Amino acid sequence: MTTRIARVNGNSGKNRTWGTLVLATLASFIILLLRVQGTATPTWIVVETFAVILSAFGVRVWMNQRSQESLDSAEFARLRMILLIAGGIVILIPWLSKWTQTRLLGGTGEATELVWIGMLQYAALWFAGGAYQPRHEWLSFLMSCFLAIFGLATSDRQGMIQIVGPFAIIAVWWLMARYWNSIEGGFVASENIPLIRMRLIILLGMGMMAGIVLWLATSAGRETVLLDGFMPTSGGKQRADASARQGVGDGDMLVAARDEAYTFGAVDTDLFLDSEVPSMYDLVSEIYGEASNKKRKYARAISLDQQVKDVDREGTESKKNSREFSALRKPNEQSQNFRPEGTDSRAIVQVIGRTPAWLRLETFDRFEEATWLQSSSLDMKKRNLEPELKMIQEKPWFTVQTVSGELVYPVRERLAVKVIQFESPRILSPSLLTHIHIDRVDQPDFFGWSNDGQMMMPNREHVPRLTIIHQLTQIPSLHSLRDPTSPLSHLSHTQAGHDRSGDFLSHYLQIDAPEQASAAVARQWLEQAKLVGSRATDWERVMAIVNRLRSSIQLDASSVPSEDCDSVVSFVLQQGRAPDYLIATTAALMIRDSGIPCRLCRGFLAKSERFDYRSGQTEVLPEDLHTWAEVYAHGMWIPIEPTGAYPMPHEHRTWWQWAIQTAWSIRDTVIRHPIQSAIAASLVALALYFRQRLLECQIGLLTAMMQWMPARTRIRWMLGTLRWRMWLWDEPISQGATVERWLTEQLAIRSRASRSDAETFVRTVQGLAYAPAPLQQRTLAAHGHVVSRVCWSLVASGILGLLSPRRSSSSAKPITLN
Amino acid sequence: MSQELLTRVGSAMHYDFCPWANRYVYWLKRPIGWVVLAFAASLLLGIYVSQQAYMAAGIVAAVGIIGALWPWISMMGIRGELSWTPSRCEEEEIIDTTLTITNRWPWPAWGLVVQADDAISNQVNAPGQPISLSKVPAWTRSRFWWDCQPSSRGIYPKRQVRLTTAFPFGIWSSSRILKVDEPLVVWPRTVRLTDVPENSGTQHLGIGGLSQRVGDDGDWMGVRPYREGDSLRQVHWAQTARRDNLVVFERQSRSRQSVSIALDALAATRCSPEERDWMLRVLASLANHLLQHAWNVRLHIGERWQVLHMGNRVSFMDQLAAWESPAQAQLAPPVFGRDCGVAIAVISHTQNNSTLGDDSSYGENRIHRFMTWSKTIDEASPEIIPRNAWIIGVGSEADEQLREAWRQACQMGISQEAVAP
Repeated sequence: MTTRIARVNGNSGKNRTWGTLVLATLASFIILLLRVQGTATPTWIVVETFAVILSAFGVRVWMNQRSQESLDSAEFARLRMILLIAGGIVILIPWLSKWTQTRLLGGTGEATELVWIGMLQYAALWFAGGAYQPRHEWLSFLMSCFLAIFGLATSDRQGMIQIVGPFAIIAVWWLMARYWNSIEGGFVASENIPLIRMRLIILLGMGMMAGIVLWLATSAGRETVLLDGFMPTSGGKQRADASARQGVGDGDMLVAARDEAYTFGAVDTDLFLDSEVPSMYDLVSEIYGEASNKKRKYARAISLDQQVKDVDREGTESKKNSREFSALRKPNEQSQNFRPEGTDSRAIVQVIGRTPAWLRLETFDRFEEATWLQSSSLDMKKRNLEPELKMIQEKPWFTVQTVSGELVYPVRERLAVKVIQFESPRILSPSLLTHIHIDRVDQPDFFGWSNDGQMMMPNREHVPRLTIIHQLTQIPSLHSLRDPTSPLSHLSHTQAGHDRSGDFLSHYLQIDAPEQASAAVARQWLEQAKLVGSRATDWERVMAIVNRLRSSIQLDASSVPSEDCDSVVSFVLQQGRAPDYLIATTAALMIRDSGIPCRLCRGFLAKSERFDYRSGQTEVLPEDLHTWAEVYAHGMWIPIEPTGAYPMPHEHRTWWQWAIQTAWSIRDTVIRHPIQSAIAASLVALALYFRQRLLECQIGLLTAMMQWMPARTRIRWMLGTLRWRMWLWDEPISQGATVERWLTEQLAIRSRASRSDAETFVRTVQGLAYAPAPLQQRTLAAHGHVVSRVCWSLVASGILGLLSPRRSSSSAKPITLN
Repeated sequence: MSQELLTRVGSAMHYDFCPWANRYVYWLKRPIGWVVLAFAASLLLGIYVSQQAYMAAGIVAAVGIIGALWPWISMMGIRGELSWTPSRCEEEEIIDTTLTITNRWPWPAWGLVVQADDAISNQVNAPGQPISLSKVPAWTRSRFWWDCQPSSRGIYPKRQVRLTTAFPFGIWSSSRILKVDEPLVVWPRTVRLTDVPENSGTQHLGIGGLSQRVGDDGDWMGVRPYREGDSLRQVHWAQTARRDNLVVFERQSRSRQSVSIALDALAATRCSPEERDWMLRVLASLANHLLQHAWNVRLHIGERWQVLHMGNRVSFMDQLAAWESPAQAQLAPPVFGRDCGVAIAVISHTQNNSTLGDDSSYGENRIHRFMTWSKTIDEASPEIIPRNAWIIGVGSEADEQLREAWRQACQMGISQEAVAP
């Protein structure tokens, strides 16, 4: 129960407000605009009006300094008399002004009606300024409203609406304030007792209604929608769908966290024991096939880390990430479909953020004997920043990388990756990762760099499952790389004078001897595209190679070279089809051949088509394992996608850049496909030239579909299309034309109806237009078949109009009705 | 001079030059009338002058529709009940008024006003202000209370009490009738008279005993010859037979004195309501004062009379609260019998039209005239006012004047011949 004691307000007279005067002033401005339009001496009117406004405000200030009692007193009578006389003079100002201008100054003055309006304008102002009783304010308010409506109705100036709008708002507020002021002095004390019983009844009723709705909805079989957000349960369905919102057959061993990336709730300790969760090694073998056992020319030693392994972990040793990746692999014949026991989920990770996203897991710098390697001598840990704690919105974020500000869009994007079932200490992240955050993790030693420059959680077997890793990434803005005048446009590291401080880049320029000849094909491509020398920037060359590969090499996972293949690049170029890792290998080697550092990346592509709009997240499945390449540009690695089956990585462009690039793309298309372009242009030109006929033909086809409608509707439609066709041919209806004359003429021009049918049709139309309803029905019933014939004739003429020669209405010979 | 001039100007400006047209234009005195007129004018301007006026028409229509629908919908879910504690009071006595409102809508109602008779539409804490409720929350039963000071006698409400709202714009109000279970009875205000009337100090005062004086009550004290007017029930038949003349008993008399108070009904009919109320206040004051001092009071209003005692005091005051002047045709002069008491107090008005006649019509009884007068005593016309009358001027000094008149009457003796002031 709440109690409120009313505050008793005496009517002290101090509640006089300025609202009335503000309204009168706005109305005065409205009328001022009107009067200024209608006079030869606008300055005179403006000065006069502002003088009255200032006087009214002065009177208002003077009045507000006095109490209501003093204003009502007899002593004030003299001053009120003065106010009354002054008001009379003020109201007469427009008339006096006109008299002065016409009689003394020889001018024309204002129009008489404007003089009257001006007098009302000043009356409203003066009443508002000198009001000491409510009725004075009401009178001023009414006069102001009248002036506003009058001004709005009689002036076409745009500024009028801009004043009337605020006037209307303040007037409405004024009305509310007046009402509230009239009653607020008498507010009485109160206490409130909630009607609990009634509310309960209503709530129960609403609950019952909700229950009925729920029951109806569930009985309709829309479980997918209705069970959104519930914990997945087992059983009940004979089939399971990985993309299904309901976790049929799932959730017993795992948790509801599968459905929502931002939820977490482990329910089974088995989660943290050994499981069948795949490692990168398993996935690569599953997706790409087993590596071929090619005999190496040289033995290679791989150092083992110093961590002591438990006996029971020895069996899982093979799941450690490999540091080499053979480009020679056996065709993948069957899928193992790693799926932990007790779950049907196949998701590797879940991603919230922009997709497609290239989530990198590992990179390779050296390519030897058809195998990508991570150089043990290349220690990227030293080249990368130590994670630095930075609190953002009271959350611990770690700055892990800084990128060149000129090559990225300054606004960072946020991405969240939730590890579902993937065993690796490496963190899946985009190339331009700058900040990373895991809830409540504020120790920098939780994060580190791998030798190949990938973010990871050191000293851990793998990133704990169901961990949500928040990341801030930046979007590349590569316009500077395409601008020849930009100092950033040079990417090649073979040119003289280039900064060679980054010797580590030599790792990314290495090309295996057997591949050199094949990779040199890129130069031929660039020469063909006339992109050699100073005519193009390095980035344009990179994109030329990428685009050539995207257009010429098809994705085919089964097209793999044999074990004794010496050059995978040669194989790819010859076959014209290859898996993505071979296309990426080819791209990387060709780009290296141009002197531009490039490396191979492996990870996952979060595809847009897997985006679930209900949960706002994207699932990444094992088959989304992907290989692509990255190009080194001024301290940052920019992803490129040489496989044409996948989209190009997102790049920020301004509208102007986008327009220019589109224009250049069109130009390139025209150059590449001159014949097709010429045919398309000719067709467009023909369509434009014959646009009236084409549109008339389309209207005719549309009209044909209307023939099943009732006769009355068909006639209306016909009349409408006739008028539209006239507009199409720019044929105006002649002045003074009657329906009979116009329709007769149009039927003669646009239809092949017989003369008698045309006459009957015209009479039917006239009957519809002018006859009483019973007669209309009889007319339609009697002449329905004639209407159909004429309509079909019009349809045919419209469709056949495509082939008819261009004509003008003047050439038509109207039929005259007898 | 200025004030007079202003008054004249104001009168000229407010002069109704064409009263015949009021029936046609009075709707313009209401805000909704302005809205309708403004909408019609805007619409016509939009049709015939400029399409921009449609914008004004739209705004005015929106204000009108919202201003009319909002109060109507708000009041659809409102129920209320009005009550007073206590349910009987005298004029200008402060009582508690309680208004219980039930709002069945899931949204609040704002800006409500209680509309009732003027006499009870006031609150002590905010004189001159309407009784208004700022807000009745959604789905609540709210109780509002205030101190009320009824200004005039009567049984209220005389007309339906309504709860109205014109929120938000005040251009159209919607109302709902408030339920009143028990009416409020407002008695005429009584003036506290300080002087004690004579002949009230006997030992039997408190118990209403008898005195040894000759009267018509109690045991018989002796016999005497019959006199005209004696009741046949007093005849001592044995002595009568023995003496062959009517002989009657002499009995004891009551220790409590009787007095008659007569209200000049004809004068009350012809005077103003304010003067009539003052006549009733004088009547109620005298009657209550005499009752408090154990006098027997016999009240005459027109030809009707009744004996007052403490047991029927509430009923008597209720009658005074509800008393309305009867039609003149029904008025007849009162009849004062032998039981009319030692004195007669006449409550009259200075109008020279009385049903009570002159002093001779009251026989040997002492006459005290208390006359209300709407002007000051000095302005009273001596030829109209009887010689032995006290004048009670209607106004702020009426209480004191009645007290003084009563004091003088007591000093002279209620049963003695009054001397005109």
